[in-house]
Amino acid sequence: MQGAINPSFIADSIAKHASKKDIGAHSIFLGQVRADVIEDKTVVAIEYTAYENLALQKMHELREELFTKYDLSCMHVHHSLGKVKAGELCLFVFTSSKHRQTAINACEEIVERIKAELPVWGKEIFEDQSHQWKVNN
Amino acid sequence: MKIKIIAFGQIAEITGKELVIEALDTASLQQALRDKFPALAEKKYAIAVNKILVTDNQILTDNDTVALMPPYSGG
Repeated sequence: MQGAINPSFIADSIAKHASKKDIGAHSIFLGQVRADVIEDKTVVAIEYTAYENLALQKMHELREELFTKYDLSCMHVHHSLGKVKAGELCLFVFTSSKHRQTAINACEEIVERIKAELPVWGKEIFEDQSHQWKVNN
Repeated sequence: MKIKIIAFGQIAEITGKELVIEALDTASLQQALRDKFPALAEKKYAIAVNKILVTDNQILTDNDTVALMPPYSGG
């Protein structure tokens, strides 16, 4: 989605699951843009770009794989594109299952794999508008 | 062969987001890119041909799209 993820969007997503009564556990991961200080300059925003076609294709593959591996009721992933300011949310992962361990494990795996396998790039923008390219650990 | 190149992240700052290069395979394409943009020599990037990652040399055909992708940093 374009820009930051609004917390009210997350609240609405949670509320929508009230009708799915076989769910016993939700696990949510939220990524927030951190105001890192690098050589005396503070990150004020991250601008995300992606190879969108490939990212969507890869996300679809990951989704199929996770549903095969874990007994999930549902899984939602939203990643920001464009500029997201420090303190705002840039990643929303939401897994639901009958039991907590499945939801938690699936959530952790999908977050790690998004970071490692999705063709998305973050440009860290400093207050003087200079930038550096983010590196995932 | 005229190959459409799309570049991302740090690599796009060197090459621009899109360009067309004449090349027969991915090895000659990378050589042509290094000749045109010497700054690429020290950069790390993966190559995808029509959205499929390739590591070995691959023959290219007209209208193939080759993506130059630096290490991912989403999330």
